[in-house]
Amino acid sequence: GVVGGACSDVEQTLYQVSKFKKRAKLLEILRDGADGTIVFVETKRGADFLASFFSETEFPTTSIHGDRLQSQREQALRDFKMGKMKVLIATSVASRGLDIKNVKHVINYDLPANIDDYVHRIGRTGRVGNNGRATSFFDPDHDRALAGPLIKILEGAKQPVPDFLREIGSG
Amino acid sequence: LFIFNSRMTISQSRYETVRDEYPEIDKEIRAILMANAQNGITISNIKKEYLKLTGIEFPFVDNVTDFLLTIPMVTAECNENGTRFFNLKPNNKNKHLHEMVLNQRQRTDYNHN
Repeated sequence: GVVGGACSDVEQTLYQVSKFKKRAKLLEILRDGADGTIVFVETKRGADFLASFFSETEFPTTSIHGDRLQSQREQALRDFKMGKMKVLIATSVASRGLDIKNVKHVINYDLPANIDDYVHRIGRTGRVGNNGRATSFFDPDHDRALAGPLIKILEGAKQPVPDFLREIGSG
Repeated sequence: LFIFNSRMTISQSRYETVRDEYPEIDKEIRAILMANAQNGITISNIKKEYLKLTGIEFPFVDNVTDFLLTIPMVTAECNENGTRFFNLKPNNKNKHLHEMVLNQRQRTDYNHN
């Protein structure tokens, strides 16, 4: 791909999802295939809440965030890479500097505040000739400012731009 | 004895009604307790977290302690100042998280990311 742009071998999907519908939407997506999925969320407690809830309901899930010791982050990452944990829930901060590559599916449960972080996150999937997947939940009450930049990224990567995003982006 | 029995029956049927309406509530509460397992959490903060995470008002106003203690693996303790704190014991599905939370960096603030 273009330097600084998002690779076009990553299939990027955006859904319009309001804040309290996100958990049900995530569950629906994970039920179609959960292995090797990293889910980005905004808060530390949100990460642990989701990891606990999913571990009890559906899939072994672990979490990393800024309160974890480096050794705990590495352990969680190892459990994820070895498949002992199918899903990894992470805050942005905690995942920086960690060697997380070749992830099957990146899910932006909460979108980042800026487009560079979006590009960086989805760059963790679809390497070494494999097609990757990135799915994002766009909450119009929270992510409006990201609509324009997201449209540019999607167009640049020859990915479909959903209608709701075009409407918000041009409004 | 009769009055005691009918009171028990009323609150227990209320718990059943709430569990029918909120089928995930036990797991949601345990997940909130998990995220706060390092220091425990008070009833008022459980209510705040429940609203923040689900968008729904916590379905009990009174007898919250009684309700929480019907959820498997939930614990309660009264600290030196008389404040009631809730916590959880790990089960097979969540013990990997429990161990991490207990041994992570100590949090000093409440609402930080």
